[in-house]
Amino acid sequence: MWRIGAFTVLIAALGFVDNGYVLNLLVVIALHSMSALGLSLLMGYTGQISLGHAAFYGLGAYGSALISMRLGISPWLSIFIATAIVAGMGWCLGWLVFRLRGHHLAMATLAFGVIVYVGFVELHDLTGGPNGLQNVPIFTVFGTYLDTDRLIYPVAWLACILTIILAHNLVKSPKGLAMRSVAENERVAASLGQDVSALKRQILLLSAAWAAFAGGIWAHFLGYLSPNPFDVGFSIKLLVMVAIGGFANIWGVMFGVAFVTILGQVLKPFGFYDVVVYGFLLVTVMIFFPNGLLDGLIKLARSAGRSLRGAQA
Amino acid sequence: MTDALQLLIAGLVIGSIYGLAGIGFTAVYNVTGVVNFAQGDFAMMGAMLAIAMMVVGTPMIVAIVLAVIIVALLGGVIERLAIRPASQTVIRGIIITIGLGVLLQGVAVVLWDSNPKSLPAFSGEEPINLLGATLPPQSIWVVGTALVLMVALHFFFQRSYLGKAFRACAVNPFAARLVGVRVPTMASISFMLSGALGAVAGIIVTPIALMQYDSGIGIGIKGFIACIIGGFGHPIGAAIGGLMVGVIEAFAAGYLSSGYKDAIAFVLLLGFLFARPQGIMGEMEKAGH
Amino acid sequence: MKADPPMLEVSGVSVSFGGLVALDKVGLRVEQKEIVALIGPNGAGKTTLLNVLAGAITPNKGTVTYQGRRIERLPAHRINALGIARTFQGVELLQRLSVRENVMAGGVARARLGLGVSMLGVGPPRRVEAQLRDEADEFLGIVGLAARADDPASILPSGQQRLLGIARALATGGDLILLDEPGAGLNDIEKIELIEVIRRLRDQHRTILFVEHDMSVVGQLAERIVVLDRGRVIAEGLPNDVRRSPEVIEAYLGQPAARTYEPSKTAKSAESGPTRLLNVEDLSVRYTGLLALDDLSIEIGAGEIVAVVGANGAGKSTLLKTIAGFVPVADGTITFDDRALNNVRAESIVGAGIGMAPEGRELFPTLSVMDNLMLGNYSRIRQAGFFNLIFRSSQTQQDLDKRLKAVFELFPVLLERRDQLAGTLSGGQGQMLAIGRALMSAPRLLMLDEPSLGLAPLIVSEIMSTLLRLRDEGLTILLVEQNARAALEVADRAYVLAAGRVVASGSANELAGDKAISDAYLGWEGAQDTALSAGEPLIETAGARRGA
Repeated sequence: MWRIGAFTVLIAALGFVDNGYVLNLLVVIALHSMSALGLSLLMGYTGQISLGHAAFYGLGAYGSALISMRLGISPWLSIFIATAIVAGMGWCLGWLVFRLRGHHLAMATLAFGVIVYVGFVELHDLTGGPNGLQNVPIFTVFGTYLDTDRLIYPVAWLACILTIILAHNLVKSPKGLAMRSVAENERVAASLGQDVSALKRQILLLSAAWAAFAGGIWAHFLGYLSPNPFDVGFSIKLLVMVAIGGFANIWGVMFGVAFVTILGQVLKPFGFYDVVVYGFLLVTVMIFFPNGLLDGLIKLARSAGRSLRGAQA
Repeated sequence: MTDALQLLIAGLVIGSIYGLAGIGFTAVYNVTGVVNFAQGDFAMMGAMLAIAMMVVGTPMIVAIVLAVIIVALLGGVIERLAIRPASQTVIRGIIITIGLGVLLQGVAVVLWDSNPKSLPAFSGEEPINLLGATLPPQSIWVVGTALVLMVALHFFFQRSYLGKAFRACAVNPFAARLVGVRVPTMASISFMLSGALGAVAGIIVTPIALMQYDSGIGIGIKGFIACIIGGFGHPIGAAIGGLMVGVIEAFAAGYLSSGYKDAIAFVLLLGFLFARPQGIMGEMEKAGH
Repeated sequence: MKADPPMLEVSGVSVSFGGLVALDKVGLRVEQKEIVALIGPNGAGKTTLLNVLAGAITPNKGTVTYQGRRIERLPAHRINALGIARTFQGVELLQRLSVRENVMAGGVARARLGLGVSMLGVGPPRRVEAQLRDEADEFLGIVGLAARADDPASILPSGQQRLLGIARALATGGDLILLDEPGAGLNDIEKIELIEVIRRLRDQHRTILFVEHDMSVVGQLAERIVVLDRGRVIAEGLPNDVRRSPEVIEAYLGQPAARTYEPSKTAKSAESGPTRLLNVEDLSVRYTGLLALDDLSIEIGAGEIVAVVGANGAGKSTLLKTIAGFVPVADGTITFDDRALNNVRAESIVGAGIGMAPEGRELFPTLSVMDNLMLGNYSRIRQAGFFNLIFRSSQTQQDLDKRLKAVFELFPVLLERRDQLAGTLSGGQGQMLAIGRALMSAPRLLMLDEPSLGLAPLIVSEIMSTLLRLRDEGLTILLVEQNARAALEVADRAYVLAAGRVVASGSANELAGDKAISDAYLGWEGAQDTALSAGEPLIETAGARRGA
């Protein structure tokens, strides 16, 4: 728990940095982390797979935007309403897909992601089509618009740190034990009285909610939306983040998000080359670092430290 | 009416490609139980390699043959280096093949560029007239090659000794080892086979549909959908499934907006996954024991 | 006199998998606070029945009533919530958790903690966690594992794994505990611990139904025994009655096989000193984490039929699987024809000259009989060169045809049904196919793992006669069988296995008359006496019941 405290202090300190570019990066990291943490709970701790998680992010964004625009309510309210609705959708999706396993489950979630994306692009009347939505209401606090990176920073990170705390608590709680037993052996978990299907649905609901909330923050910060960020590519990117994070490791996942986001920025001038790097990263991590890059690097550092000390002795 | 016929033909053509990709899936699945999410990217690589070789002056036939061989070898290497060490669980196996697919796309971008590319049509561009609909002659190549390969694979798995040894690996790996079959070797060979099939699929469709670094995703996914609809493990099922997807897609693009085209295949997929997960022909044999 | 209704009542339960009938109108009762043992030979359906009771399988017919409630259609987690807890044959610990966490995992469902509440970090989750911890420590104390609470579950030795499984089942709060082969793979000391633990559970007013092969464990614990054979209850009652029932003895030791083939008089006899073909020395093997073979030595001479008999769980199958290269050797050596086989991979064993018809036949069900046989020749074809797999050279083809002819001559029914899918064959035909497939590689040693399993006596005798014929044609045979009588009728020599060790060996004739065999299978004698002389309350209570 102290790590969370130290992390909060670090984040607060970084908030005073005078560089808009860095602040923007950090805001993006905060929002992506919320989705990635949810995905990690689903994949790492409960042993399922989702190739369509970007859909929840997008549904939260569009949902909150549309609710606030059409019903004329404050974004602060609409974001919660949208989150609740998307969480419900996640739960319903769970009823449909969790009877499937392995590659069938993977494809079903991919299908969900694609169908939602195509919906964003094609349902012009609702979503504005490929051009997206304009004039999405922006968050206000006492009359000030939170439309700069510095101003949205505390909101984004407050939400993200809250998510970290909730995830941490969940994993440590008896429910977390239940999740881990389901991930390892569903038959045994059922024999211990756990309603395995219900648990999977609950975790999907939770991870959908977090992604949706992050999407909502994104929408009301940016002020406009287009379908592009919510495609299959983003779902794969989330997958890479979680894989680099070692699947079932909260700090690993945070590292993974930061790593992939910063890498993405570094590779931007190279255009499409980022695809190579993502693929290479994913493959390498899966083969050589099954518990995540952070964990792998720490292990490497330790063994290097040992052999160094050995050489000196 | 001609419109419908036109759409039908277009659907059959692209459906044959999906079917071929689907058969590539089954070749691997029948032996290893792994679903290779990079299957479509084999198709892309095959086409890209053939194009690259022709650019430097290689005769088309040679370029095609070489491209197929290279991608086949690539498949074997991938199985040995990446799939085998990283597929301890089904989920991990899925993720590594996804990663491999992305990697192949990236390699394609690095080696060549991100522009769509084309191959010359095999037998000219003069459109053929069929009952009022026009089709490029390449379509005949596509459907014909796909048909030949599907039949060949069917015979391979059903009639040939090696094909039966392959199936034995998936049906009962324990008994396969008992009679002396080296299952890992068979796994490598099956990946080589699926690489070759994928490469052929990519090459024959490029003259019609162009190919760029990320075209493989669509082919692969639709091929997978074809397998599920048709029944995993049946080459014929994959063919039927592929044709179904192709035709329905073509009609959706024609009568609805072309944007919905992508979603239609997935709606079909979801329908089958919930109502009849074993597909039209039923799963051939459960991989593993 | 019992006034309360039975705690558990099973009536008319039938389960079939495809065409195979696993349970056939099974009925039994378990009273409150009883300890009931469910026994029966291999393949009797005991684990299937346990799975039905625990909700892992829904029966095709019949009812299961627990405390007056019908439970046969409920899912496993609901049945557990009602008060039935179970362990698994393969223990199946949650490897990535610690010992204590495994037990806590058992109690989580009972605590009924919601998702939202779980994320709070303080309050209910903390309280529940502390409570689960305390309970876990308590249960670990009952099974004697308190000292290892913080260790990772993966490092526990086999006996303690079993105890952890029991502690975990206890944590779910069950009143009826179903134990699936709790004694499997345990050494003597571990078994004593286990028996102690189960008695403690009984003292805590829990009811126990356990499946077991180890008769010493059964003898010391069971108040009542139910015997299953081929999916039916064939006997039920007090231990002494069941033990002496002729049906039970026959179910276990098997029926004598009527011989349809007279061995030629020039067959190998003991004096001519057979050359040693297979030598197993001091073999120790771990299988699924348990010590399956313990310092075991056997040898087989060329041209002999050697039988390895013993109760289920004795390690017979593991022995064959180890020789065949599927299970790694922990200690000891295996030598075949002066070639060390210790680390040879399974795929290469057949090329060395050993063929196996494995337990359960292991055919390729969606391939035809002909295909199955032809695949049996795979290693020889492959040895002639990879290209032969695609186009057989004339020599390879001739060799293949010769082998096929020999197999068809031995088993004409396979020739008749050569295009039939192997999965649709009857049990006896399937067994013939498994043997035929093994013969296709022209082995020098043929190993058979429980060929009589699930077969009618007439078919068993046919198969045994075939083995004699093969022996006379020069083949060496290693026969693992639960049906000791039939095996001893054809074998030259035999070994009796119990708990991974050889407890008796000699010529088949000697052993056939030896009490050692029935003891090894139904060895209640020794255990019973020990229990009586120690004045165990268990036996007294049973006696008191009988008198009441």
